[in-house]
Amino acid sequence: MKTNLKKSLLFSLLLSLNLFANEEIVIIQKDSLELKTKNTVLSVGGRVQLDTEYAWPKGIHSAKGIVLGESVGESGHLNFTAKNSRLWVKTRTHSELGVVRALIETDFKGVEGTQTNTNSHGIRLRHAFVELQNWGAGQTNSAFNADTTLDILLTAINDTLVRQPLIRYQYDTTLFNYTISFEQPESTLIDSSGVIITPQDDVVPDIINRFIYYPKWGQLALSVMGRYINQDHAVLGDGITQLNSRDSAFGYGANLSGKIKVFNLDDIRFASHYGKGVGRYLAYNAYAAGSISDEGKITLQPSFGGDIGYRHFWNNKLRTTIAYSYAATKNNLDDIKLNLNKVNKSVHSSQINLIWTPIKNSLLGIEYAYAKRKVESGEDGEIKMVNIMIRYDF
Amino acid sequence: MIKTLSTALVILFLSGCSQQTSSLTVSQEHTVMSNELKSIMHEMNMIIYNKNHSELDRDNLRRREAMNLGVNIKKLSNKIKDLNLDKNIKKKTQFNNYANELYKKGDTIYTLAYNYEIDKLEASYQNIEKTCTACHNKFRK
Repeated sequence: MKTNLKKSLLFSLLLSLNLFANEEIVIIQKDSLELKTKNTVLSVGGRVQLDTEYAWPKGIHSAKGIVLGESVGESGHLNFTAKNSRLWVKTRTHSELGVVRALIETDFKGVEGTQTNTNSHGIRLRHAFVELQNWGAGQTNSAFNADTTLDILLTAINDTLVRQPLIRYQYDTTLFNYTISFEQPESTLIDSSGVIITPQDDVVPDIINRFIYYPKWGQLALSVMGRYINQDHAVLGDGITQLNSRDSAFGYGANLSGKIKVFNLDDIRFASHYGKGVGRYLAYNAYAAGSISDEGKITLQPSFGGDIGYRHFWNNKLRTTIAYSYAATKNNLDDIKLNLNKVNKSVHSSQINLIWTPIKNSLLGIEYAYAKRKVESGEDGEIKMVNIMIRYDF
Repeated sequence: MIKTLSTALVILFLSGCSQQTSSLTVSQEHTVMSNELKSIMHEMNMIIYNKNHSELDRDNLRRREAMNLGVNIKKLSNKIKDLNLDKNIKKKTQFNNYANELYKKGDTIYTLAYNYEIDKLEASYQNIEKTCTACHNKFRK
């Protein structure tokens, strides 16, 4: 069934895109299904995923999505979605310079329809990336991302995931990997009214060095980032006021993540991050890189976070992770005057799950999460969530 | 399949693929190596669940693990030859042929991984399993 599905997808792609129009096409079905020309192998895959979430009170398990205060009349909300399903196409081509590999990956978290009838979800680009020898270019995950993450169903509250256009160079050995990456800059600054603005005045790419060590006892990754935060006659959060000034600042950040193998198949996973001006690289842009005064002066702010989790295998097909994660920032309250209830300060979350893989590449899991968020006005809010996930990667 | 392969490899290494595992040191080394191989196979099975990795990143990880697996299988095949066998020359030749076959298949896994032919690795793992099973059937009591 899996093979038939892949075959259908390959034929559909072939017909719709008229790919390899002038080349002989061979479909090989022994051991694995490939669409093959003289030099290129194309394969298709993806993921079908159903998330069933019940949250009380209504809200989102994220550093800026937890509703503040007592939620009157909002005892809970049940939501089913398949928008986290994915589809990818990748190619491998032998060239005179080496193997060229390319990937286009999408999910369905684009423009949303309603839940009343058809639950439409627009396709959205995740990755468009090509690699040749040690070089890679396109859109993919930032090298600043934690390389080892918690084995949990919901996204970690301190997640350092950023996906953006970049150019990178990698040097790889069996024991370690070194990456230097030049990535799309995007300054985020919070103004006096508590609104995070993006001045769109960036002039230098964010530069990230990453070192990953692969010892027998686990894995350790350290990413160090330097970035240039800039504003040049930026427009403030009201959309009207344009500053008559320029300012800039140098920001930096570090992200340490890893796992340590312990008993049998169990492991301990952890991550720790700190940075001044790290902003959007932590907790899905819950915190700004810094503040911008009414005169246009930039003051970068420190942000930090971490997580730790223990993953236990009950047997080869059944596992549990218990995890705690935290993220926070120190906002510059000298610059921020209004709407302090919209200015995120800190968040923490605890999660526990049970994940079953009845067949290879499948996942059936249930997870409970409790999270609490604080803002600069002193208000806080909390959320409890149960997530049931059914997933199959093909 | 991978579970079966892991089990087969563990049995192979623990038994030393021979009824005459008189050298305890070699046997212990096999046990250590089998645990390493088991660990590598487990890591490969879990790559699909890694977050924050694209499909190319996952292939890079599979490649790394497969190259490690290939190197370890080759080391293992050399180690097997050090085992004490009975004095039957024919049996010893047969046994060494299996060891050589294992070496070649380990080398194939390494080469496929090196060339990013990740989609062909699954078949190669099955070939290793066949060699293990054939050796067991022949030599294990």
